[in-house]
Amino acid sequence: MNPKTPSSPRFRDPTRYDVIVVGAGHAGCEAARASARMGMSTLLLTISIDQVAHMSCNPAIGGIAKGHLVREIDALGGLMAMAIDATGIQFRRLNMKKGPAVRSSRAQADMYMYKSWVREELEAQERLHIKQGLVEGLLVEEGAGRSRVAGVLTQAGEEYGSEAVVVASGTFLGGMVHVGETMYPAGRAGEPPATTLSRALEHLGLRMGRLMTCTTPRLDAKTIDFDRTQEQPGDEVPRPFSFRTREITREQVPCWITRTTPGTLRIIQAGLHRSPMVSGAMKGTPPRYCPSIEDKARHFPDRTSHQIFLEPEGARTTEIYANGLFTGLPVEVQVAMLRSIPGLEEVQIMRPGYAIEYDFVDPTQLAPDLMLKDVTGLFLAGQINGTSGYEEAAAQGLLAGINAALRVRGEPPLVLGRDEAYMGVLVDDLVTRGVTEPYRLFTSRAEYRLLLREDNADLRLMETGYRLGLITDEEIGWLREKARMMERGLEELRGRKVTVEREGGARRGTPLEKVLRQPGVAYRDLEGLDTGFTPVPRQDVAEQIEIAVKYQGYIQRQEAMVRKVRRLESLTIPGDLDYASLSALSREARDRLGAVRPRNLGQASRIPGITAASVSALMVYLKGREKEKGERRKGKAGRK
Amino acid sequence: MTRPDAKARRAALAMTTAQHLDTIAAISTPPGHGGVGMVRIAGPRARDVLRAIFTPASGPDGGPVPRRATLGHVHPPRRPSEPIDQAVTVFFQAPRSFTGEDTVEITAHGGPLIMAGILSAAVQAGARLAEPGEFTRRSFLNGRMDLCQAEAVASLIFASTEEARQVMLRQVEGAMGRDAAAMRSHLVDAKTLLEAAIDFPEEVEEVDTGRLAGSLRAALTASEELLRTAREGIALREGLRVVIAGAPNVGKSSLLNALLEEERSIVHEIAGTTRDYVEGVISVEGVPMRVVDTAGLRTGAGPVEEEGARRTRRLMEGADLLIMVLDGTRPMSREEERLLQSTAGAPRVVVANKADLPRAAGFVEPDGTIIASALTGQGVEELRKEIHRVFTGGSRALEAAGGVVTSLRQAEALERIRSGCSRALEALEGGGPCLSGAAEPELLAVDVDDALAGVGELTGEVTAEEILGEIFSRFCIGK
Ligand SMILES: Cc1cc2nc3c(=O)[nH]c(=O)nc-3n(C[C@H](O)[C@H](O)[C@H](O)COP(=O)(O)OP(=O)(O)OC[C@H]3O[C@@H](n4cnc5c(N)ncnc54)[C@H](O)[C@@H]3O)c2cc1C
Ligand SMILES: Nc1nc2c(ncn2[C@@H]2O[C@H](COP(=O)(O)OP(=O)(O)OP(=O)(O)O)[C@@H](O)[C@H]2O)c(=O)[nH]1
Ligand SMILES: [Mg+2]
Repeated sequence: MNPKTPSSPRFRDPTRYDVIVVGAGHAGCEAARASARMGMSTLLLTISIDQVAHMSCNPAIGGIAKGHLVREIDALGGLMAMAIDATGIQFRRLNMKKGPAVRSSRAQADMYMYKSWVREELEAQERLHIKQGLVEGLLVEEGAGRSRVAGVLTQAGEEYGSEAVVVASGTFLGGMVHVGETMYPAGRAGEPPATTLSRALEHLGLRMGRLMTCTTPRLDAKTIDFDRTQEQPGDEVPRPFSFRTREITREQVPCWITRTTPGTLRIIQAGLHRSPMVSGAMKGTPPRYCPSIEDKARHFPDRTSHQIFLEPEGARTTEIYANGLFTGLPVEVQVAMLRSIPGLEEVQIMRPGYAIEYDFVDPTQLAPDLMLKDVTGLFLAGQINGTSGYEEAAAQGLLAGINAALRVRGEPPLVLGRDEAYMGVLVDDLVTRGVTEPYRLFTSRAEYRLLLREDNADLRLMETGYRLGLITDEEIGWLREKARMMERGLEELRGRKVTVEREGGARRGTPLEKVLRQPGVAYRDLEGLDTGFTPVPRQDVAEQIEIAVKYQGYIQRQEAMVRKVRRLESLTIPGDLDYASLSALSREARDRLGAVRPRNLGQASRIPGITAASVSALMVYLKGREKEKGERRKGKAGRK
Repeated sequence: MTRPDAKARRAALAMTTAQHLDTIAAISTPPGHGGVGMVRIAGPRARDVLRAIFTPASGPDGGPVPRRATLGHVHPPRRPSEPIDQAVTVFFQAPRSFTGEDTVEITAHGGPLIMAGILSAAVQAGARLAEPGEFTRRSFLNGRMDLCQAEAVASLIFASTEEARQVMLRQVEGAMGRDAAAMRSHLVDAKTLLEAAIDFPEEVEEVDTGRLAGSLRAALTASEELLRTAREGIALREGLRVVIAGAPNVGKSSLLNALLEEERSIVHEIAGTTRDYVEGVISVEGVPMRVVDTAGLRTGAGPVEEEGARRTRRLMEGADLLIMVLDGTRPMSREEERLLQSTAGAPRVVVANKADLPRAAGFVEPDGTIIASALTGQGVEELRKEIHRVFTGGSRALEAAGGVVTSLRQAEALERIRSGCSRALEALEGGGPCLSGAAEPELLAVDVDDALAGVGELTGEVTAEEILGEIFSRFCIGK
């Protein structure tokens, strides 16, 4: 393709949109829908309308920490949870042997049904126009010191004007696909890249970098001998993601597990030098948590066997996703490798695995509302910000859509704290710490993990969603009822006292709350201890009560930590602070602070390389400045 | 590098190119100390200042050579013909200096006038007077020392006994930092085991509880060992408050004088001589102690004495150790008996004084009482030994080679580490709260996080802002 700067448009749409979203991936779909639901006239432009909400990689939603995100998206009025509930073909909750804070939901999707479900939902949305079109340029007005976005230009010569633009272009910016020694420009296998848009962003003066990732070969189920694999069923009773879904009724399917053999390892090792990720043909940084099979063979040569999960891509297709075989090896090596695995001896590949490298925008250039600090009205969301994963993308998309709408409305942005939501952790990590590899969320990234559970996402975020207009009256009524029931249930546990048998004799007057705190005692057990006590019938409420009581000590400790950090968070730093003039800081600290321009001391303290010492120096400076201001004010008042 | 904060440290090393825009100067020896004094100048212009106010004995040269002592004389800027004093100067080039910046040390005869003269010459040559604690602060900011070291620097200057000096020196050299690094690596190990099982349950099915317990126990033991040094260590730095109390006229003031080996407190045969408290500093086995003589405790006397007695009680409450004095020439009064009872739980030494006189028939002293005479000095040495024994509980904590806890701040941080580890271990062994029957890794992680935060507080890597404020405000001389 011949990259060209878009020249004068051949079609200028007289309608001005409030918000334009570029890219109908997982980020773009959430952004566009939220914006439209918040009353904005919204345009969603995407390269191919047939690929709306396409799952580029794994046909699954959720997982550890990702499941948390999906529940949060749902509580804020997003789409993803409902979409997977409607189209999931196998649900499994992970970490069930551990406590509620780290239990996560995951589901296999019928990815084709998922796509059409999302597309239908978007098409039904008022105020939202979906158009096919490759965006090549941004309309930007240069202002005093700051530029502002005014719309977009497409490859077909259309021009659309708007107040805000959300770019959610995924892996498409300067995308380059590699399969063994072969490479070709693409945003995803079989789809064109967005090369000119990448240039346009660079033109705005943005710092950009390059990352890479890879995907697995897709296999034809009718060429797999499933008898040689182990069946992996889903949960007996599938638990929905969305607070709105009552139950999952769709027929569930199993997945299968097989393993690589020593032969597989030998084949990979013999072909290693032909992998673009090993040969040096690719320049981007790959994710460590999702290593290619080449990397596994290289870094853990002693492990002769790796688990491979065979996951159906849908109920009506024979296409199977071979999870665990992420690879950039040449197709012939992929075939040989696969056929050395039990059950796959005669397998046929439907689509080979491949690696892709792409441009991303250094996310420390974003403010916490996901708008670029130097380009008013231009928001970025999803993989373009250096993340990876559908859930991470959707979470950012939702926030960017919300904030674009709030901006058009002239209202303050929605910024979630690290103690409020994994979404807050995700965004703060991105805009404060930046990325060095494709960023994925883990529960260990959250310092207040016990507070951020899947089971309380509604209690944490639904009121916010309601204020934004993304949660209906009915839904909020349901939540408030839940909260009330919880409160009453807890009060009752504190108020009712029973006599409990102990080693040293019976102990009178022990509150039920204390009894429940004992290991091994469940909320429902209390009924047998106290005849006057009736447990709350609603299961979700009972669960909350049990967690609140059992975890109380730990939760209180985390809340105390939150309060402590919030104090640093409340010391705001002026956006125009001239770090270069702060002689008490090292040059490195000044550079880093100047690049991120943190909003408050809390954020400053989380910038990598910013030591406690630098933070205290900054605090001393800010306090001094405050005092000076105060005195000047007093001085003025005195002169009056 | 095995330092706990290797990353922060590397960043800090890069920081040593830090360009503090100004150059600071101060007298760096405490006032009134001995025959020599030092003026220290640090900052980007330190070398220029030196060249302006110092001429080597060998005549003007190409400028100072790093780390070489040079003899010459100091003078006002560019007026070598008006020498202030003869001096030895050493130039330290960034980053290999105390603060991490270019630094000059000028050592001269220590008289206050001479020192002031040199300082004023430095200021005329372009330096500015340092704020209290600024050298140490810059040194900390430049990553030249951790928080424990920074504290120790301040303490070193004030160290009043040789033992205290030795301990502080060990801290400045980073003994505590090394211990913290060891604890940190155990805790990081523990945390890694937990997080791996939580975030990657498919790859890491179970927490390796054996290894986890091992790491936690190692950190626990290390923190406990350090905490054992706290009482003595803090006393070394801050001194111990010892209060002498008892009935009027039993010889409290005489005993203070005997301990001080000087006539500090007024002694008189009239009961109630001491109306307000008098104090002196003694060193017992290297531990500095502020010994306070108090007004005798007696009810039913005049209002002035009542007030004195009230103060005495307040002092007794705040004391680290009490010396309860009895008069062996008369039986104990009801009041004295009550007083002994009420202080039985506190760290104290009981002394039966006036042993040079015949003992009263009805006088029965409690077990372990030291028999002494303030007049003849009999038993005073024994009293000192007993004070030390009661205070240390017989431990020889300071003799261990590792770090010594020398401030409450450190003790609190270590306590956080200790309790985090012990809570986690307890939960691991089945004593903690859980929902599923086993110790859940995410709950254990809260405790390990807490312990890790303790390590951070200890060396100042991730310290809370108020601690820093505290510490820097305590560096209160021209260091
Ligand atoms: C090969 C491969 C391997 C992957 N492996 C993993 C993995 O192992 N683990 C994991 O978590 N995630 C993986 N992913 C990432 C996952 O697919 C993405 O993180 C997620 O889809 C990102 O969502 P998004 O909305 O940001 O972008 P995408 O889902 O990529 O959607 C971007 C959308 O924008 C459209 N678009 C792009 N540019 C333009 C333009 N200029 N004009 C109009 N429309 C445009 C595209 O057509 C597309 O519809 C992989 C992706 C690929 C391609
Ligand atoms: N013989 C003898 N006389 C002593 C001894 N110690 C103190 N005295 C005398 O006892 C009297 C009281 O001594 P102080 O030291 O003033 O007693 P105090 O306890 O401080 O008294 P108040 O301050 O009045 O409470 C003085 O006359 C001392 O000389 C001792 O060990 N032997
Ligand atoms: Mg006296």
